[in-house]
Amino acid sequence: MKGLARTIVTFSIPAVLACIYPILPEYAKFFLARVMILSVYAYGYAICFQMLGMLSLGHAALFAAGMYGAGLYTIYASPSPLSALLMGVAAALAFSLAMGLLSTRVGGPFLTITTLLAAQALYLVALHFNEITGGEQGIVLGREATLVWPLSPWLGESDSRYLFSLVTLVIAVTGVWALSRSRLGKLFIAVRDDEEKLESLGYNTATLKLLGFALSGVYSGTAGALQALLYSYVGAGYAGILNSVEPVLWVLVGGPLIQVGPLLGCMLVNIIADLARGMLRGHVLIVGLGLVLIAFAAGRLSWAYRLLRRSTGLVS
Amino acid sequence: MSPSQILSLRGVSKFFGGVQAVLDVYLDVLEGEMLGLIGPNGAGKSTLAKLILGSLKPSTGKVFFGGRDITGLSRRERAGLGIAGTNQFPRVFSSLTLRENLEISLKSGGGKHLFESVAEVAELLGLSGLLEAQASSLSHGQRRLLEIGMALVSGSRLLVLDEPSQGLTGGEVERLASILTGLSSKRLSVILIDHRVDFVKSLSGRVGVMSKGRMVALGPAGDKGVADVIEEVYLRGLDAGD
Repeated sequence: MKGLARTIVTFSIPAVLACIYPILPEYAKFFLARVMILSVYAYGYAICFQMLGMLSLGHAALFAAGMYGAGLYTIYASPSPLSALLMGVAAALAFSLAMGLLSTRVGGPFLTITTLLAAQALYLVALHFNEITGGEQGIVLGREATLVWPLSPWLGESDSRYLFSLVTLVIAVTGVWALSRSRLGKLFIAVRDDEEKLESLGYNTATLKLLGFALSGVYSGTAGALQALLYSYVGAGYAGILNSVEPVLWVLVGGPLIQVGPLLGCMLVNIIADLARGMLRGHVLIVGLGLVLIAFAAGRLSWAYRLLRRSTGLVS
Repeated sequence: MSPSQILSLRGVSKFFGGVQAVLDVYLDVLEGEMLGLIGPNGAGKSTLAKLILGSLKPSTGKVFFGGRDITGLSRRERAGLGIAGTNQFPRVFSSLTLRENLEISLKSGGGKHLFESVAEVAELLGLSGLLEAQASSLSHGQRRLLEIGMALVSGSRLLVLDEPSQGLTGGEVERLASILTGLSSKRLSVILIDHRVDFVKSLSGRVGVMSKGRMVALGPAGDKGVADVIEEVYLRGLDAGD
């Protein structure tokens, strides 16, 4: 029964997003497609933070690695969007392995600092090689290089983008749902609970953490590549610190159920930020206020989490 | 080293700065034996357990397991050889269920598995009805039993139990004693470290007495010489050399 409840909760939001699609206005489609891509990023971050307990502040680099890997491939190699998507994921995987090798060995606050510095390094590299990356201004990709272009004669650009994002989201949710039920997922949670104890049972926790970081990188890189290939744009801003902090907020707001929390949190924060976008730097303000409120209300939130866990039997 | 010895400590010492926690300990543990280790607070028992498990490295001396020098091996590598242990304060994976804790442990160790299934060990621990309970919701005693169960299913050949009866109720101590007695048929070697002298003596074939980092007596549990040293160490706080 618990398993069935978990499955229903997990796929409820993607199911709603699929059902309401025909009646959505154009702007809502555009907005929700973007939120769905960011949710894939949120799920990637949740694997690292929520499952393994590693507080990274450098995931923007993994997002940006996927984005640049895909975007620059379409500019300098081939306009084929599917190859570019694979190239973006491969670039994020390579970068996450390199970053993970450095950061997962140290752990705790040192991991947070190492990932933050690695992301800032990528950001500065992207700015420095302005003529290749487009720097802060970025580069607009050719229309034929986007994933929506082949489908647009039948579906239209916004519908193609929405459906592509939805399919990717369903794949991402299914992956996390399967991971949370798998032995590997349990081992990730065991690392978070008591790494030393797991080590004493004979497990190589360094490898487990690196594996989790790389998997998280694949999710983040996929989101970054889709950002480039669905919205025809790459820019250094995506490698900045704000893009590393936002997923922390999404995961915290979303709650303890990893199967649904990242999507829920990402949607809530982005909807609120979108409503407040008329304000000066409203988006940044919402993220900052959200983090402060969460820190302030942590005790009450954890009480709510425990209550939810006890009452539903749903655990992350 | 004779073939029946599974663990051998040769002149093992551990210093923390100027403090000597363990001093020049020689100890052999036989295959299938339950060896008790007693001594007052600060005698060095838990430090010795950590030196055997690999959480600490000796300052001097050597540790052999199955005839192999394992002095330089990490705790993980020792676990792979079949050395398992429990901690003074039970450590389990709180977010996972009792079943998941045991399943993770069941597939971890490198030694011969004493139990074929999670259900079998849960039955032995008297925790069958709690298999789907989250570990964080268990009582102290249940967590203690779970940690022992995790060590038992991890494919261990040598089990080091550090204060397993601490914080347990009378009934739970009886349950623990019955579990440990049942292990004698499994050919598992156990080092039982505990404050309860009678509990240790009733279960162990041999008993070692530690005081101020030294092994001051080692012999059969019923031996009068050992009993005299225990009395001396506990009642008068004396070192054997005093």
